[in-house]
Amino acid sequence: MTTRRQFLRKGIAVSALSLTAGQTLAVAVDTGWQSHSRSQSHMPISQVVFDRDFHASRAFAAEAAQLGMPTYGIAGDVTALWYDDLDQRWRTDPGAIAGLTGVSSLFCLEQLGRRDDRRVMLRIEHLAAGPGVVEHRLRGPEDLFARIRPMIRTPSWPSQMARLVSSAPVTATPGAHPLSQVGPAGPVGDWVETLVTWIIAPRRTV
Amino acid sequence: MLPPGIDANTFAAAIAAFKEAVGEQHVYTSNADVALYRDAYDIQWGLPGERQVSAAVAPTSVEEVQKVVIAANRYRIPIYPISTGMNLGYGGSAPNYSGSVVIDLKLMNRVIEVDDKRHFAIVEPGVTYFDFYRYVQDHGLKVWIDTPDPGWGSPVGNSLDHGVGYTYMNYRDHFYSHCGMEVVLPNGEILRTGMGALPGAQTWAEYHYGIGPYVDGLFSQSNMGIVTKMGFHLFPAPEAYRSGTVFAPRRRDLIALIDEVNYLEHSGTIGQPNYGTPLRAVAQQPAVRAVMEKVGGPTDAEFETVAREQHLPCWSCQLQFYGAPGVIDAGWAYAKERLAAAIPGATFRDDLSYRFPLTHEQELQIPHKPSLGVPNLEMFRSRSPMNPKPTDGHVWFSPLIPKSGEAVLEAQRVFGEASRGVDVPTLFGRGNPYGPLSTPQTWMYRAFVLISGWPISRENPAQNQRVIDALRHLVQVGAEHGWGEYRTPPAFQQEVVKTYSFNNHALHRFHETLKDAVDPNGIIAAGRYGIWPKHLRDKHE
Repeated sequence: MTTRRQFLRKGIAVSALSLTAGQTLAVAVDTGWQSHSRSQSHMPISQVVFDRDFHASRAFAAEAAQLGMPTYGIAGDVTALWYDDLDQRWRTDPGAIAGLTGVSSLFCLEQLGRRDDRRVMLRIEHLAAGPGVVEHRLRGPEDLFARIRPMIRTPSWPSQMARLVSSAPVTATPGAHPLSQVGPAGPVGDWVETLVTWIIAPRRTV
Repeated sequence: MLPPGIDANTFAAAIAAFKEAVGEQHVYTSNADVALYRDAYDIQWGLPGERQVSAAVAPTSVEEVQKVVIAANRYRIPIYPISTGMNLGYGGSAPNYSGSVVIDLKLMNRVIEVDDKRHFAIVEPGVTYFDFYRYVQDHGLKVWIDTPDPGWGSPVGNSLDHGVGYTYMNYRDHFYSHCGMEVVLPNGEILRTGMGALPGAQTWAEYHYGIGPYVDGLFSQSNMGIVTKMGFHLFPAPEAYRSGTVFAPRRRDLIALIDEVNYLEHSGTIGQPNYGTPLRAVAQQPAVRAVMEKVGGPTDAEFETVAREQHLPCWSCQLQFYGAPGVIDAGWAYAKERLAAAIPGATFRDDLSYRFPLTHEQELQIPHKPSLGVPNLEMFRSRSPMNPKPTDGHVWFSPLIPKSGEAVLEAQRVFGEASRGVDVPTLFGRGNPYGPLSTPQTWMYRAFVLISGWPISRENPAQNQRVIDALRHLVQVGAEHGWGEYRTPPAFQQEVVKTYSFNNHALHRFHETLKDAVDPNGIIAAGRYGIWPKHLRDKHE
């Protein structure tokens, strides 16, 4: 028997991959886009979120696990992730979390993050743009674009996204220039909504 | 941005005063921080008409709220309090009056008291339904909360916005089930209502009225003060739950169905009834659409021919029972007996049956968790076969109609014709959001809402404008038939309030009189539900 108390704690989420010590992440300050080469500091990525329903997201999580980042699987709904984990984690943990999920899951996390002064610091959208093609959209400084372009020219871009969040600078988005570039999709047959690679970090990250 | 009419020096002085009041770390002024308070479902997103925030302040105590209000008065800064700002579709975290400073009560998040013998609670505005649920579970308390869908909002904020839930009787009406509040008035003074006005009161969250005029309603959908505590009556945790569905074969059976279900509900036998039609599952078939979308609507014979050809009954209603196992089993048996007598040919289906506590497998299978008082965010799992391309948000049109089959059939026809030809997608595909298959929502306990959701697109402002035009039309059509909205997004609040126009808008003028008396500088939530302070009235009404 499970009590109501335990209900949401169990939830639907699983840690599909091995959990190891938190990876470090280079993070820039909180206002305006910051260059990769400018003021940065390091903080642990305390959680990597993936959506088990999407092959691209599972590939992202597998690479993240290889890189030593703890992973947490969802299936669209973030209830268990919130109730079992982030609700408490965000009250005390100064670390960032990252993910590759559907946009609706990120929307929820972005709204929930306001309570604890957390913001989306990196957002790269991935849209199915036709057979075998995915369009990647982000806003940011040119040096970040230069870094990302080769990553999205390969069908293994989900793994590349994991590498990006494991080491990329976290930056804020307003006022940035947009980048839109298409590349080979890899397996996208299971997409029914736009996917997004993201990092959420405390606003006072320095 | 600056608040309207406030120069940079004055605003800087006000921000300094806010920092003095709450601490620098709890004052948000950067563009990136302030952007978090944009209404994610603003129908004017990205356009000049989008409601903007100039700064945000997060007090941690009622004393800090007082200091903030006093500072706002000193500098004439418009402020807009939110509890958690999660009422998406009805305004979110952004103010009616663009440029206001948001007073974010998120850090006032104490569950002050929960009593599971007398069944009440007192909480602060930053407590979410998740927090509330966790507190009850962690302390092993024998009460349920009644949560809206989704559960990330605040009981205080939701009830003040006249929000609703899904369990039993009046517990679903969150403002109705509140009992007592603490308010910081626009002059910074603290007011306690009801029994709370009695120092040392022992029944603040149990008896609503105290003595003399009852004023709590002045602080809901309003701008007369900032609510910093509220009491709520709570549903004693039931031992068991069961649900069952009745199916009615003919179109006009809806009248008897609603009459009987009203009796069961108002006499306390059932919780929230859920009306539907099995024909919804085939509504996109061309032959069915041709009948249901016929100008003027289908005749009863045409409607029932469709049902017969599809081998489906015309209506369904799921009944929910809460209580002792023997009692709810008897309740279901009694409901079937009454409904079978009233509706020839009615059929019945046993649905869910739970004894608490649940097994984990049972918990995961609960199809709608708020019906069991469990908060969740599942509704944001937007991708589905029904909704393959989720929108950027939505606004609701929420007219109240009487709880009768005649009223439902009439409202289906009136709103169906009024929204015919509107060229926007609905939340779940294309087509008219109203029609002969529309069924009422039942949150309110004593009234129906024939709600419709309308999409918002951040990339298609022309479509958004068509939504605005359509909803404005529906507001007027509804009012002409005596159907007013219970709640509406800021973009429509002024117009909806104007439809409540009895005796030359006597109620609205009374609200304005009160506003001028309690908030002479007009600092709190200007424009909320059409109540503008005197100095802004000419510009906005």
